[in-house]
Amino acid sequence: MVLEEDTTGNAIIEDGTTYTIPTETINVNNNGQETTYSYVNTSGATVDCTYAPHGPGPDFPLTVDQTWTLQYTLTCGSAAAVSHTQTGTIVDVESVTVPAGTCNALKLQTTDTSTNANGTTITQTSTNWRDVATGFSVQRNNTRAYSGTLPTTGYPVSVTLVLENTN
Amino acid sequence: MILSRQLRRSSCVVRRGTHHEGNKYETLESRRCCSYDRTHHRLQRRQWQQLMPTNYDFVTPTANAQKNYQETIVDNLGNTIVETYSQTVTTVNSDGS
Repeated sequence: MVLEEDTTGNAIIEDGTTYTIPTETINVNNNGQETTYSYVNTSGATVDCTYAPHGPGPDFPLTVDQTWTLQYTLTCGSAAAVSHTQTGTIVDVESVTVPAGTCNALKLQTTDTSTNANGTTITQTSTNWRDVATGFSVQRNNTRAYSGTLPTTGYPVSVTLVLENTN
Repeated sequence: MILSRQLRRSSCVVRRGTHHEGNKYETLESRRCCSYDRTHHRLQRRQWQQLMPTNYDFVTPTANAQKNYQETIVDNLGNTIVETYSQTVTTVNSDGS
C-alpha cells in the first residue's frame, strides 16, 4: 500500500531545536513493513529513503509469543546507510482504549539499536498496539536512550502516539 | 483431532451409571477414569493452544481510509511537543498490501 502522512508542516522551535513532522509518502509491503518513504525537506527538495531489505516489524502471520530479530539499513538521499538491529516479541492480545475507541490489539514490544554517521547510538524501546481488525497502530510508546556522541541540540527521549479518530 | 478424542473418552461418565450396580470398585474405577480424563483434557487443551496458536494475517488496507494521530514528544530539555497528523491509504497494491 501507499500511505500519505499529512501534517500542517509547521515547525516548532523549542530551546533552539526545530521539531516538525514532514508530509511523507510511505510504501508498505504485505507484511505491513515500510519499504520506502519520501518527504520534502525544509529546502523544498524531495528526499527519498529506502529500507533494505525492509523496515522494522515482524513477518505475518502474527502469533502471540512470536519473536523476531531483524537487521536492516535505512538510506536517505545521499547520506550513508544507517544499520539497525531490531528484536521483538508479540507479548499478548489485549483490549486497548484510545480516543478513537476500544479495540482488540496485538501488543508488540521491540528494541531497535542504530548508530548514525555522527557516532550517536540510539536504542529505542517500543510498545506498539496494533488493531487486530486493521493491522494499524492504535497506540505506540517509545523511549530513546542515547550514547556515544550526543546530539548538540535537544533530542526526543520519549514519543507517544495515539489514534485520535478514523474517517 | 487429539482434542476430539479426549472428549469421546469422557463418555466413561455414562458407562459408570449403567455398570455400577452397587459395586463400589467399579464406581471408584470410573471416577478415576473421569478424573484422569478431565486432567488429561485440560493438559491437552493447553498443549493444543501452544501447538495451534491463533494466527493473525495481514489485513488488506482499505483505499482512502484515513487515520488521525496525535504524537507527543518529550525531549531531553524537558520540552513537550504535541503534534497531530493524518495518514491516508492512497493506493492498495495488487498483492493486497
